[in-house]
Amino acid sequence: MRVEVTFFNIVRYYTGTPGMEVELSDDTTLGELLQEVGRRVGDKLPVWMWDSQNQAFHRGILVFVNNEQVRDLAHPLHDGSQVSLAVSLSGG
Amino acid sequence: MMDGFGERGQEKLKQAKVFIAGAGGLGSSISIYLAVAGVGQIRIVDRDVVELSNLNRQILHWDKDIARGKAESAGEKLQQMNSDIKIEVIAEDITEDNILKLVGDCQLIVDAMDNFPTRYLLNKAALKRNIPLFHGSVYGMDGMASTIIPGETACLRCMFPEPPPSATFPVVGVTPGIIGCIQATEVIKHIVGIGELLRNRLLVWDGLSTKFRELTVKKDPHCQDCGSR
Repeated sequence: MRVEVTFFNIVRYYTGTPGMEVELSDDTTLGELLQEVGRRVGDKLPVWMWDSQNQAFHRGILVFVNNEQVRDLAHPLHDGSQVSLAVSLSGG
Repeated sequence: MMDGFGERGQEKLKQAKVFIAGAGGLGSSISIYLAVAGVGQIRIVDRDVVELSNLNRQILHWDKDIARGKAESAGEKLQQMNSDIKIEVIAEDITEDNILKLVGDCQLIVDAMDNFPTRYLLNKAALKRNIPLFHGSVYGMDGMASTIIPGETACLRCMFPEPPPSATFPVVGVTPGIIGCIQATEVIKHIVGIGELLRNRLLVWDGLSTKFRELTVKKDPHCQDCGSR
């Protein structure tokens, strides 16, 4: 199945791309998708976003599936799912 | 002329008392539009001093205000914009010890801060007082806004469980202008009682591609700030 990944705000600044398309097996979970994303762009991300040791995004990364916030990494994905990553912004 | 607004809506604005945390980029546009809208009482808190680097976006402060307290500078301009309303300025740090006193009897809190630790304090105060919190934040040409209604929506901590690291951030001046106007719109709608607020909706602005995206946020039952509500 194909999942569209979008990077918002500062995530986009670091990855250098607005997003990517990821091809995965049909029963992939959100957590597995995020690990694949991290594998592809983790080396571009700062330590407060990507934990390279544990191969996981930090809790401060906001994850949305089809524009809805999801915290459960076991959340199942489907062909055409849209996964977005963003972080909180500090400026004002 | 406009359904739901009119004289009654204007009177509601006149009776309103709002707390704006910050008189910087966001605070400038928010307070300007609330002042000219006729919000009766505006309390602004900011302990900073105007610097040259602020002037690209903090439109309440001008060349002549460099080295002046932001609260005082803001108060002067806002009162000149609308002499019929009450502007109260406080040049103090917002801390855990004083925030409830600073908020006082204001009926809502506007987040125009430049750091997350203080934003979390605003969040806790809103939850404690059971009053809305109007969140906005910016970075470069990106921004976000959402409206938090205690007991009903995700709170700020639900949305953002961890703060970003403290760092100097770039801001293109128009960005807090846009996000601040969205926050001011939310405040006006709430006071007057019209339209739909950004309840459990995180509005994400990308100025480079000129796109808004709406994301749905959810209450976190394990939230350290509101999880038990």
